[in-house]
Amino acid sequence: MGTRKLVSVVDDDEFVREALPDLLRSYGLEALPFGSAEDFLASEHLGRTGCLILDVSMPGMSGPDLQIELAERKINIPIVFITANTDSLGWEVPPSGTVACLTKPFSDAAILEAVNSALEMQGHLE
Amino acid sequence: MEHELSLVHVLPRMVWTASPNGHAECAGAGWLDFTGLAPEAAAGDGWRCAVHSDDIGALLGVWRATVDSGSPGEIGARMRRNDGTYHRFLLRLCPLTDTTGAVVRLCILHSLIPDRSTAATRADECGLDTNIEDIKRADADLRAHRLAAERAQADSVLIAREAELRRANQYLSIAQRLSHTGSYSRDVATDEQTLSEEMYRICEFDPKEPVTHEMVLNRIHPEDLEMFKEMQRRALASGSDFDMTYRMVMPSGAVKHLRSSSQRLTELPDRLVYVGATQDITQWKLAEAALRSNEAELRRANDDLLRAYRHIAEAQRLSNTGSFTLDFSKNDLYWSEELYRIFELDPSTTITLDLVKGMVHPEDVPAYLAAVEGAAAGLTIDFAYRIVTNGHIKHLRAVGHRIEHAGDRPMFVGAVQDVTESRLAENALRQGEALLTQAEAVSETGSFLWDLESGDIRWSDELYRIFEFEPHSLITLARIAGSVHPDDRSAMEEMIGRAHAGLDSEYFHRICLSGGSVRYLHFVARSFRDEARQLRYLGTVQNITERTLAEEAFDRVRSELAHAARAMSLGVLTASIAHEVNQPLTSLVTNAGTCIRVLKGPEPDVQLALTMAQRTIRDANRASDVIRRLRAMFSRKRAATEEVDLNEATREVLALSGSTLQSARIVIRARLAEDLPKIRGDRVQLQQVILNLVLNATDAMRSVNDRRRHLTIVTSCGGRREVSLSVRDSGTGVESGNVERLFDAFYTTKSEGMGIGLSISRSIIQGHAGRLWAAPNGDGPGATFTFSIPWDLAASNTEDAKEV
Repeated sequence: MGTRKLVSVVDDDEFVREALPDLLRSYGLEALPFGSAEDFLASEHLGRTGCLILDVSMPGMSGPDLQIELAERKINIPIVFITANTDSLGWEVPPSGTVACLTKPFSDAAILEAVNSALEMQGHLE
Repeated sequence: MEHELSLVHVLPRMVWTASPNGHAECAGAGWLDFTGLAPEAAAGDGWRCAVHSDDIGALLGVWRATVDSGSPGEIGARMRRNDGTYHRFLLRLCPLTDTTGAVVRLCILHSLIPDRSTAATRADECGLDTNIEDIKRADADLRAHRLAAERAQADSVLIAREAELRRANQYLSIAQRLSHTGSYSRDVATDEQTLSEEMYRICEFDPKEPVTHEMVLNRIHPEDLEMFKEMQRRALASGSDFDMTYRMVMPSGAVKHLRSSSQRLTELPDRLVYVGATQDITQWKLAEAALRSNEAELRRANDDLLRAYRHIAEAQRLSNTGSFTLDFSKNDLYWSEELYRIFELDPSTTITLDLVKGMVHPEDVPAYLAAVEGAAAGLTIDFAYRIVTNGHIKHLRAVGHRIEHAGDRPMFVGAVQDVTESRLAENALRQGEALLTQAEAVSETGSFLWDLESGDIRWSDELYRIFEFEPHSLITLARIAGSVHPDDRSAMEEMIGRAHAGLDSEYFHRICLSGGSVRYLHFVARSFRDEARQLRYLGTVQNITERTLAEEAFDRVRSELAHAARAMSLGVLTASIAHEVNQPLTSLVTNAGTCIRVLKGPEPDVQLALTMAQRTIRDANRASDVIRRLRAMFSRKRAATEEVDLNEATREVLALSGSTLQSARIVIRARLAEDLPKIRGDRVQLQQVILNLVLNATDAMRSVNDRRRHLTIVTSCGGRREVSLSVRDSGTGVESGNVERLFDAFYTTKSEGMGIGLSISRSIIQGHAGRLWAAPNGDGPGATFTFSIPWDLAASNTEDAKEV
């Protein structure tokens, strides 16, 4: 396991921001919610984040936009996309750093597995 | 004048006439006897030898004075008798003047002057010494001798003259009869009238009765009486000669025109005795009057003829009709002015049958020759032919017949009318009528004319067809009413009322045909009064059944599509609602998971678990709210799967979007495959896709101004048991790298037209187990969107896919 263990949740839905960190904490993980991609990029927790749970569709900067922004800043954070839409994300092969794409609603097992995979991947990258 | 000259001839006195320049014209018998000259010898200057040479100069002087002054002159002159002795005469020169007063002739009368010198000479011979007695005796003897000699001489002269006179009277009488000229003399003082035989005849007096002046006056025509009296009164007052023309009324009532010339006898200066000649000029007058009236008549006839000729020429010009005569015996052809104009020939051209034949249209030459032959044979001709003149064709009609009364010379007269204009108008009219009939048939529009006064209704052929009535059968209002749909009869009655009130009408009504089907008609009529002020109703009736049915079908489709459009936008909404439902579900599941996790732990945190459980309930309610809203929106049952003819669906869409395409100045080309298999699916959804593709293409071409905006829609049946439809535009096109992103839900949120995106279109096509893709045009600007759907798939396959 790497040094960056913080799981950052970026979603415009306040109920998801409330529920998901509580679940992760009940499994002993450190989690913080962010209401938008811009908030996350501006926070001091950016460097501590070892896994990013990212909503796809958001007002302003969307999930994929944030992924591109991070890649441009050479910040490698494994990302777990979550989306309420059944629509395609627009790519056939997910960009590198994409761990999973979960369709809402998802089970706690599925999210935990994805988060753990991400943290593990992050640890390997370290 | 003739009779005056003859008078000179026969007068016993010595008298002769001469021209003013001194040429003797005619000498009387007395003069010729005395001088012993033959008339030929006396003529011209010949008479001068009969005048003593010493006296001739003075005579010519008086002669000139007489001619110059116009008044009589006198001169004494010695004349040589036939025995060579000279005798003194008094010559009286009487000038005869014409109406202008110029002297035209001189009449010279000779009177003998007793010769004293002869007696004196004889006395001298007897001796101066003879006594008075002797002288007296001698003188008496001489006187007796002289008297005897004179008497003897006078007697012989008288005898000779009597014979002469008788002869002369005979001649005179004959001459008078022949010339219808009578003579008379009148002694004014005694009113003694002497009339010649012929004069009695002219005046129709009884030759046995003496004639008085009173009797003469009674004969004078009342209108001329005043003039007659006035002329005489004036002449008598001055003692001058006079001429006059007057009329006499005979006892029978006949009127005679007479001309008299009267001269006072100058030999009797102390008495007023007139002699005159009267000529009966009635025949002349009548001839003259006849001539005058003939002349006037001729002039009038000539005027009439000229006027008639002008009228005919004008009439010919107005009616474009020329005339001709043809003399077969001389092959002589005469043309009127107008005929030259019709043939466009110079009027000086000599016309021959061959010349005309050369101008006749080649196709009409046989007919022309047949007509000429017929005319020669005496047939009446009436035929139409064409001529070619100055490069253009004229239609002519010729009629003609032989003039029977022309006798042995067969004359043919005829008229040729230029009927080009009426022929052309006739053709145009015929063509116009044919065109109208055709137009009526094509537009299924019949026309009618209704004479409200007589009740007569006339229908065009097409109207009979529309009503399915027997062509040309009698039309009555009752018969029409029998066909009109029961619900529309009140409208028809209203129309009839308006027609009688002279008002125009426009109605839509239906008629029921014998087969039970219904026809929709559009009726428009205008009322007017014809030239006889009769009220008439003219109108058209158009069969608009197909249009009406199409409109009804169109309305149905439109309302279906409008509903579908709502359903579609609900579909879009549904996607976002699904998104919204998934959000509370996500937190619900997560909260429930946390709750379980908390309760399962070694030290269950009940308080936290309760919070989670409460959040769960809250999230569930939030989700159910979303679903309830969704259900409320989907009120309509979705259309069942059916067989869909993609061509028909396409045509409907094109019809629906016609106005949009038109206003965007887009040219549509539809190439729809024949025998396209039907597919199973949701017709309305598929039409939504087609419409969406058409509207997208339209949007793509909106900014195109440098080329034609072409939209080509093609249906085809592919090899893989697929039916496909493509919409190709000539718009801005797509980048090949971005083609797939067009179908991205995020990419295609632009909402125009029906507000559905390509993503939903693709979902629909996918729901029909088909594919939807886009590609830039390889051979030009623009892009082509195509979908294909398998046509043999079971309907069940499409069912769940439609729940987009």
